[in-house]
Order: sequence, then structure tokens, then C-alpha cells
Amino acid sequence: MTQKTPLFGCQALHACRDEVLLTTAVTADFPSASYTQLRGRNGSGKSTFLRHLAGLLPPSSGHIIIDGKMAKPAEIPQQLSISYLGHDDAMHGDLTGYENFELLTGQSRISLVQSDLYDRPLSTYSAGQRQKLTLHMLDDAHDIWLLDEPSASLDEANLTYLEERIAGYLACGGIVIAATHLPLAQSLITQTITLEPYEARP
Amino acid sequence: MMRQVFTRDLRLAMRRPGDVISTVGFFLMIATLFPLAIGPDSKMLALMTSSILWIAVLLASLPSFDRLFVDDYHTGFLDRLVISNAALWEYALVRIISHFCIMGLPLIAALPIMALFFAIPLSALPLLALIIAVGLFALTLLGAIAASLTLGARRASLLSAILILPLAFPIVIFGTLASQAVLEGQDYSAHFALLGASCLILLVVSPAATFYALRYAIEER
Amino acid sequence: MFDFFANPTRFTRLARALLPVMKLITILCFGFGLYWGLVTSPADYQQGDTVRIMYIHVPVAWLASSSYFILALCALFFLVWRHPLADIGARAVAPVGAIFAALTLITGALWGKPTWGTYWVWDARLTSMLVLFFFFIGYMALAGGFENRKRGARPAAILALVGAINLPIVKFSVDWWNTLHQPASLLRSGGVSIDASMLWPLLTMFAGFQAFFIVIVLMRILRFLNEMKQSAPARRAS
Repeated sequence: MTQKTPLFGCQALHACRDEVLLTTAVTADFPSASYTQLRGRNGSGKSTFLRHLAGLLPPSSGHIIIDGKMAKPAEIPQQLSISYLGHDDAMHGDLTGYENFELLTGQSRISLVQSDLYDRPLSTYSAGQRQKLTLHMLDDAHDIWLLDEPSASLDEANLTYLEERIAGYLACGGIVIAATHLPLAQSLITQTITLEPYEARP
Repeated sequence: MMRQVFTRDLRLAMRRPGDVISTVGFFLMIATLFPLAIGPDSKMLALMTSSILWIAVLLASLPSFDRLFVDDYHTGFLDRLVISNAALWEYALVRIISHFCIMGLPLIAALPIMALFFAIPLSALPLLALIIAVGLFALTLLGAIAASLTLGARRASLLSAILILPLAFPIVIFGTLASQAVLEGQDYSAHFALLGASCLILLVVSPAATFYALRYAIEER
Repeated sequence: MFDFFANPTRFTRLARALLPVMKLITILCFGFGLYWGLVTSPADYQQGDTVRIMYIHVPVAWLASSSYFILALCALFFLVWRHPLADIGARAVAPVGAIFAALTLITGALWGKPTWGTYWVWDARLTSMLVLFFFFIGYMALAGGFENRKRGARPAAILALVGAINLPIVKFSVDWWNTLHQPASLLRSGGVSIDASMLWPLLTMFAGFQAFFIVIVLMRILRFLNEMKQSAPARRAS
């Protein structure tokens, strides 16, 4: 079997902030149709690690690898399309569901599940309805899904929906990297990376 | 994407017109302070009209500049822009232009009221409006620099004001001189040209500085 | 070449070696300069003894302006080449520059009272120096305006560069404004033509203040480096 060059990976990547290393080095590949779970204690640097992968925060130590070559942070969004599910959902309360959707995904409102709810401003939604809308914005056509503690704020119905979406996306060959300490589609996990805190050598 | 940001800004402004109305009200109130503080002597006020106009424009627009990037920063919208490979400097420029349209144009539309307050001949208004428009756009460009630099700072509004004001001195100087010349029927072209030149320089400096400031702010989130 | 200075230990050694020399130069220059300037040099035929303020006012004014230039240079090195000492240099220089600007204004006021009859006039030079003082204040406010001190380093550097670009524009606009609003009295400050007997003390004071500046800035940098070494965990990324 030939070794296919992984589309996306990291090499000796430490989560770091302000040039202070938070975790030990991680070298991993994230091949097509893989679901990687990032584990670690709270505050261990999982979110920071995801921000490195998304190209939001340049790492001071280590590299992101795209198609076998080291990629600068600015190149990541140029070469890969990413769906990012973070702590904040980037939506504006005064805009309607449709307007938020169009602004954040760049697609027309037809791509969204049609509902009267989405003609109303976001500020009138319940937390669950707002989360559901954010989940709808995950795009199966994107190269990578980065999920930052999604299960922490989702109710049961939305959690089930997310797990279905993940299953569907993996079936299309998508790459999922999720930072989570709660169970999320456990049966589909293909690799687990545990982020250990960086211990300075005395 | 950028056109969508522009339409979003316009939509939001129409749904919350309170901010614009407050800014125009603030503008008129500041202008009212001068006769109250100096005295209603029309000769005195006539000498100071262009200064009053410009100080009122500057002080009225200062508080609104903070909100150029703060909301998008805290909701994570800026993160999404970076992830979707949007150009941050384009975004900054769109925000500046939409802010000028939403906050600046109403101030200029309020000039006829100022003409009433300070006995400005109506014939001078169009030219005055143009000069103030150029100055206001330059101020918005400065406001973008200050707003992006102070993202996440304590006392961001006060800090913003401290940063903007010294940089705004040329705009105030050239603007008041040009406006005064128009009011007196003198040659305003030299002052107006200098005002325009300052604005053009800022048109280059502001998106560049704002771009880097936004990028660093996103990294530090 | 600048990588040579990037190593904090090497820089510390160099600075420690340079410091005593600079301190000596400062003391010598101030000593001679003040004696020359205040005692032996002639009084101005117009202004009398008050002209002696010039021996402090002029060097300090020059240093205030050049401090901002150095600040902008540090900012540039910090942003473009990520030179680690550049931010420390900027932090060291900024308050010193601000104080020099304030001293310029104060000595200018003290000089103005006997010369023009008033402590303050809105002439181009004093107003420009006031603007420079505001630029320093703005820089320090921004650098220190964040919860985390490191967070403010890069925005402050951008501000320093924006300020450096705008400073000529502001100075020009103040000159423009001043020539148009020229008050009736003759306010040509600095109209003193320098005679040789005044030039040497002036140059000596220039050298003294320049050396003094270097001493203060180096001492501040050394203090910052020391603080960083004591608090730095060994987790720094190389």
C-alpha cells in the first residue's frame, strides 16, 4: 500500500502563548476521514492548539504541515477551507438567522434548513435554537472541522445532531479535530492526542 | 464577502437608529455649549464659527469610533474572517466607509441647523459640507487606527481619545482655516488642498496600521 | 550585526562596561558645561543673563525629538525583525523622552517670562514640543493600558510608527497655523545668533545631556533585563 501524503498535519507543535510553551510537542497526521480527539485537563492548551491549527495564532515552536510542506500560519486559510466551532459563535443578535448564515458561510439562505424562525432576529432565539443554527453552518464541503469543546454547551438534541453531522462528514472524507473532555461520537474516533503540560527541564 | 459586511452594517444601523440620533444630538449639544460659555454676542460667535463647528464634529464623533471593531472582535467574527481567508485590511476599509456613511453623513446633514445657530449664509453650506466631509473621513481613518490598537485595553474609549487627538491636530488646523476662509469669502484652496493631502496620507497609513493591529489583537485573544 | 546585540547576556556585559565611561563623560561635560555656561560665558546683549537657560533648553529640546526617533526605530526593529531587546529599548526610552519634552516646555516657559513677559505663548516651537509630549504620553498610555504588559508591546510599536509618520505632518501644520495667526509681538524664539563663546558651552552641554541620556536608558534596560531574568520561567520557546 502506498503512503499517501497526508493533507494536513503538525510537526513538533507546542501550544504556546506569548512565547511560553504550554504543552509538550505534538507530531501527528490528520488524514482524510479521520476524527482526532484532543484530550487534556482544563486550561492545558487545547483551545490554543486549535487556534494554531486554524492559522489564528502563529506557533513559536513547531509547524503545521500541509501536503507535506511546512505552512506559515497565513497560508493555512489560503490552502484549506475550515469550519470552526468555538466558544463564541460570531453571530450578531440584531441580524436574522438567515442573515447571520449568509454572512458567516457565504452561501445563500436556500442552503439553510428553511424555517420561519430564521426570519426573526437572533436575539429572540433560545440558547438551543442558536446552537442549532451554528451547527447548521458546519460545511460538509470544507476540508477540516475544528471543534473546541462543543459538547460543553450543547443540549442533548443538538449533541445528537452534531454526532450525526460528524458521522456524515467523515463518510465524505472530511477531517475532524475536536478538543473535548466530554464524550462526542466516541465510536468514530480514529486517534486520540493527549496534550501534556510542558515541564521545564531544571 | 466585503459587500456583505457593508450591507450588514447598514442593516444594523437601520435597526438601531438610536446611535446615530444620539451622535447628532451630541453634536448639537456641544455646539450649544459655546454660546452658553462665551455669551450670545454674535460678533464673537461669528469669529469662532468654524472652530466651533470643527470642535463639535471632532468631539461628537470620538465616542463612536471605539465601536468600529469591538463587537466583531468579541463575538469572534474577526476570527472567522481570518479563517475564511478574508483580507483584514479590506474589512477595515469597509468598516471605515460604512461608519462614515452611517455616523458621518448624518452629522453633515445636521449642518443646516448649525447654519441657523451661527448665522452661516446658506450659500456657504455646500462648500462647508464638503470640507467637513473630507475632514470627517480623515478623522474616521484615525479612529480606525485608535480603535484597532485599543482592542482589549482597559479604558479603551479614553485611551482611544488620547491617541486620536494629537494625530488629529493637522485636520483641525487645516479644516478650520479652510472653513473660516469659506465663511469670509476668501481663498480656501491652499488649506483645503492640505486637508485633502492629510486625508490621502491617512488613507494609506490607516488600513495598513489597522491591518496589523487587528491581526495582533486576534492572535492575543 | 544586530543579532550580536540580541543576546541579553552579551548586551548586559557591554552595557555594564560602557556605563562607567558614560557616567564619567556626563559628569565632566555637565561640570564644565554648566561652569562655562552659567559663569564664564557672556550674557546676551539683549536678554541679559536669562539667555543662559538656553544651555539647558536647547540640548533638552534636541534630545526630546531624537528620543522619539529612537523610540520609532526600536518599534520598527521590534515589529519587523522581532528583535527581543527592541521592545525593552522602547520601554526604556519613552518616559525619558517624555521628561525631556516636559523639561523643554518648562525651561521654555522660564525663558519666556523675562523675554516675552509671559510664561507661555502659542508659538510654533513650543506648540510642536507640546504635541511631541502628547505623543509620548499616548505611547506610554497604550503600552501600559492592557492587563498583560506584553499585550501592549505590539500596538504601542505600531502607534510609535504611525506617530513618526504623522509627526512631520503635525509639525508642518503647526508651523502653517502659526505663520497665519502670527501675533503682533515679535516672537522669533531662538533668534540668538550663536557666538563662539556661547557655542562651546552649548556643545559641551549637548554632549553632557546625550551621555546622560545614554546612562539613564542603559540603566533602565539593565533593570528590565534583570527583572525579566528573575521572573522568566525556563519554558521560553527558543
